Amino acid sequence: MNFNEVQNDSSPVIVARNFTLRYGQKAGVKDIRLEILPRRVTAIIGPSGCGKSTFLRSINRMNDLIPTTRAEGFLGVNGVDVYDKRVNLANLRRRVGMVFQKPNPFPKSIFDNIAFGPRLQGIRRRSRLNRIVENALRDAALWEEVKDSLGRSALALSGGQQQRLCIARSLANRPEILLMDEPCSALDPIATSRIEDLITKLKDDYTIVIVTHNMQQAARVSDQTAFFCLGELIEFDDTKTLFTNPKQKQTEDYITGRFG
Amino acid sequence: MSDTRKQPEAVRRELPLLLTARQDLLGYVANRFGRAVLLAITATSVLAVLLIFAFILKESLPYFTRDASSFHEAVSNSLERIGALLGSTQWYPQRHHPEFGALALVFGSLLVTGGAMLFAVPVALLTAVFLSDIVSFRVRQVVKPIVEILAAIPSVAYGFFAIMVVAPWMQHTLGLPTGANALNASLLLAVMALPTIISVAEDSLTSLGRELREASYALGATRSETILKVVLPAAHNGIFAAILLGIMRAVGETMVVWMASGNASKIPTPWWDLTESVRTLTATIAGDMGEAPVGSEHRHALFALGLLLLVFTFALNLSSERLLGRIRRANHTPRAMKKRRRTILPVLPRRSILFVTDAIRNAVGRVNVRLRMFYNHCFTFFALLSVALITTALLTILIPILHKGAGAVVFRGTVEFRKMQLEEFGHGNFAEVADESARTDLVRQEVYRLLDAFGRGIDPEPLQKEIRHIYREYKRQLDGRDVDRPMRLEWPRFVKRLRNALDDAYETTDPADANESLNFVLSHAEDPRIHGTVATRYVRMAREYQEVIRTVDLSRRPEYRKKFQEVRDILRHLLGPRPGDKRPALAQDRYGATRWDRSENLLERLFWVEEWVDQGPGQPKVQVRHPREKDFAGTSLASLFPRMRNHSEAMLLPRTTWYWRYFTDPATPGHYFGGVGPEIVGTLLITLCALGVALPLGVISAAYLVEATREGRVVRVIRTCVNSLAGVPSIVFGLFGLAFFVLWFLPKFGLASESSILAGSLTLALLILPVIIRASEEAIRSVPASYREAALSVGAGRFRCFLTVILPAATPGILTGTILGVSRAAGETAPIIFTAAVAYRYGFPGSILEPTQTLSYSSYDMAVGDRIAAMVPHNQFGMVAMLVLLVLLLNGAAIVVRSRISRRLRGQ
Repeated sequence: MNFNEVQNDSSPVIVARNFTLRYGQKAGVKDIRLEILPRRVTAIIGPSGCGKSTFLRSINRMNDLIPTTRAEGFLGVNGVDVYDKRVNLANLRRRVGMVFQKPNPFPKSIFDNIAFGPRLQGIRRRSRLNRIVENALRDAALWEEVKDSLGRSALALSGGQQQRLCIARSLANRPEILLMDEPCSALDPIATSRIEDLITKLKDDYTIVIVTHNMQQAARVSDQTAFFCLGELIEFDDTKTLFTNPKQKQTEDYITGRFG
Repeated sequence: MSDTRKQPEAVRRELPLLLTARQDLLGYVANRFGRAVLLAITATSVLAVLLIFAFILKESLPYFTRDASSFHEAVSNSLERIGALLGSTQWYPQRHHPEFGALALVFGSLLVTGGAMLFAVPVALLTAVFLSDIVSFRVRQVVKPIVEILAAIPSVAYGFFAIMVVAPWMQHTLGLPTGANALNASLLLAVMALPTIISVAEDSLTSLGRELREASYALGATRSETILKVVLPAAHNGIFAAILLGIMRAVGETMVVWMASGNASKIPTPWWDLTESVRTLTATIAGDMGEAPVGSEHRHALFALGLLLLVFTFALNLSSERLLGRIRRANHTPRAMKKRRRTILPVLPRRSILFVTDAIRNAVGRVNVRLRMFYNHCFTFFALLSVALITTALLTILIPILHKGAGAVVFRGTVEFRKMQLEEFGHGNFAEVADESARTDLVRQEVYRLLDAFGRGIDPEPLQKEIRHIYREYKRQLDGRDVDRPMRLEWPRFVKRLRNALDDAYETTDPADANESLNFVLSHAEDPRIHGTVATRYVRMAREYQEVIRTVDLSRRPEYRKKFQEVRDILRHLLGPRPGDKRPALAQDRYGATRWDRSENLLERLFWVEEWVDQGPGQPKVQVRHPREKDFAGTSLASLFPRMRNHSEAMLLPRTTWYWRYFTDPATPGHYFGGVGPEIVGTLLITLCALGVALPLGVISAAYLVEATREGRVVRVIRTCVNSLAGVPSIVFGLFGLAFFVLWFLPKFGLASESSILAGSLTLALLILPVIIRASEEAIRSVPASYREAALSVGAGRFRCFLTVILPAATPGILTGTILGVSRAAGETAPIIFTAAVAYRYGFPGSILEPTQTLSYSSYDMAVGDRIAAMVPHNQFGMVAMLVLLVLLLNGAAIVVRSRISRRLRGQ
């Protein structure tokens, strides 16, 4: 499928149809139907253990790390089923970047962290790597803070900086989709607001899917919101609609704080 | 909304999401192939275990079957032989009618092990409890290194300590008939087993978690009650495993028991008498192998002993593994607990809380509170005591070794030392040494003069030889002169009379007789028959001798002769051969006392005579000493003693010497002079070669076990084999190395047909392989999963992810394990006795296909085997101190490297 032809605002980049993922016998998520549009921020909310992260990690197949997972149904990125046997996992993950709950920089220098992805693709020229690293750090709004200390260990950065570094590391691969798994849950409020600003800025160029525990955050940054509960997709709508006028009782109970 | 801003690094939309068929196939093949290769490498451990069993069995089989012609006969022979092996205490491996009854050996092994456990288990458990439950983190940081150092000290160093320090102490202070006995071996084995028991027991105690303890404290139990009634019962599996591992360590230990147990193949009477000498399986293998030629029944019998040992430790190992595995499962999956069919005691962590709460509630109700607190303090006191004991043990072992060992490098060296260095090793300043020699020779001359003068009265033999020589000379002179025939007949007859008179004077012990004879000679002093000939010397000699008999009591000549010989021997040891003497063949005879401490000893022996004096029947003899000067009172020699007392320094010129070349010099036979250069080189060579083989194998195996495969039957088998390999006694590794590498594998490639560095290092590689695998596995496993996720999420493959992220992060752990493996290899003795080590050869090893001397084996040999080395204790201690230092340095390096790298990984 030629990507460029399909690529327009209206056609979804991520499509789930009857998608089910099982850990052994237990279903992590079941029967998900969902279409995520390009260059939007889509938030996934829901109580703990409802399968938000499971679904998110299915999109770039990070669940493969857990033994005995099994997928059913269709989960497409740009029309290709990611659980197809022939999927090129490396390319999938380059195109679908991910930011984790806890900042997880490598124990290397800041530069080496960002250059990790490009180097995997065989980029060796220092000038080119410099440019990529600078762009990525600028995009992640970290450049000004670290430009003089690119050789320092990434682990010496603060938590918020580390998380932006991880975002920059994903951006250095120039992905089209960025998955964020509760990226602010380990951060203080100031760092959180900077990440949220960053998300808003990034959505001009990237399709962002963010899992969050924090409903205010979902309301602040996202264009669309999906509400998961017990492994099922309960409701999926524009954020404004979902928060002001939920169609499902469960959703209303959750966002008004009656459970979860 | 197009992405114009992103040029030229445009969003990578051109990357195809699907693999082409070719990529797919290639990836599949590479994956399969890679896994197969990794599995093959990982299977080395399995292969090693199988080969060890196969070759030990193969070599011992002839002992069992006794060239049977049929299978049936072989079986019946084997049964009979096994019966003989385990049913008789007669171990007589001579050539004719040998008997191989190993019962006494098995019993010896069990006795020393039992003795060791008797000492080790209480101390170790109290220490483990101390570490896990009593002290703060900071104290633990201090105590743990002590335990680690104990674990690091090579077994040969323990053996050395046993034979050099403990044995004499037992003999003199405890009054035991011999210091080499089961008690000595047990004590040292106990110290060696301590670290194993402590670390495993402490692990299992800490892994119980806080909840259990809190439950008990919350019910008002004291600390000792908590520990004794809750913690220890709950950890019983781990503690049993710890004790089993300790037993394994003790049973499999060779060097200590070989050196310390006395090696008497008998069962003590009564059987529990630890003060008698015994002999163990391991020591028998190590000691007898040198006398058992290839293919002899004796050798096959020794392999049979190895098989016995192997089977025994294998069984112990499997059971300890089961116990530890049970704890691991119990702690990780509580639900699996319920499925366990049986444990040794019906106490499980969860149920034990209930069980123990009852016990405590009862106890609290009944016992006086003050008494309970007293018990509690007692318990703490004993725990502290055991830690103090361990610390004392460590210091008692390390301090003498290091202190006396330092004496090999720093000492007051005499001029003899400088001469020796110059002549034997070519170090030093020639002019300076020559000058010093001249100066000292000047002072020594007077001593030699005194000796000679006295010697003439005491030992007439050289004089008698001389007068005979003079007579011959005289006759020759006469032949050359133009004299009449009657003169030619008569003159020699006259001179012969003089000669005989002198001879009589020398011979007699009666001064009057002697004087008469001498006077006869002197009365003819002006006789023309001797005038102007060599025979005039008779007159001079007679005068000299007159002088001698005036000072020496001739009647006491035999008595003087013996005493004088002693003085001469001591002086020879002190000052070396006299100038002008023939150069002795042995290096150790060429020089006097090279060290001032030895000189002082010799002077002490010169000035004082020590004797054992009978105190009458039934009484022990008593040592008394009196000045030697008294023995020679009134003689011309008496002035020797004040002279030696006043001029000894001038004769030897001692000055503080830093013998740095000790680390690089080769040694003269028996390590009498010289250093440990070849031993250090040999040790490093063997160790590095072993590491070169074991490190890649170990890291790849660990990588496979953690990264490339899932837990399953294959992994379980491999892991069991790794653990079994770790439990194989080192002497069995030695047997295997001999049977496999030395006699089969290397000759097959035409490399070496006798022991060689290569064979030794391959054997050691197998020995340290489990150490490296376990450490690496642990290190790789402890790399945070987030690193892996991060690497995969930016598109790295598993292989790349491992190489670029996980391996670097695991390096500190791998390095630590590696260095520990290296220090183990450097300190091991038993595996290289048959495969690589020689006690002495001059100079450095030439290639890895030659045998070499090593620090470990030389330490053994100098302590036990070498008569010459026994004369130079500082060199004995120097060798073993070098070994201990090397191992401790490696361990220190491990700690430093680990902390450095992990600090870097933490980003500081």
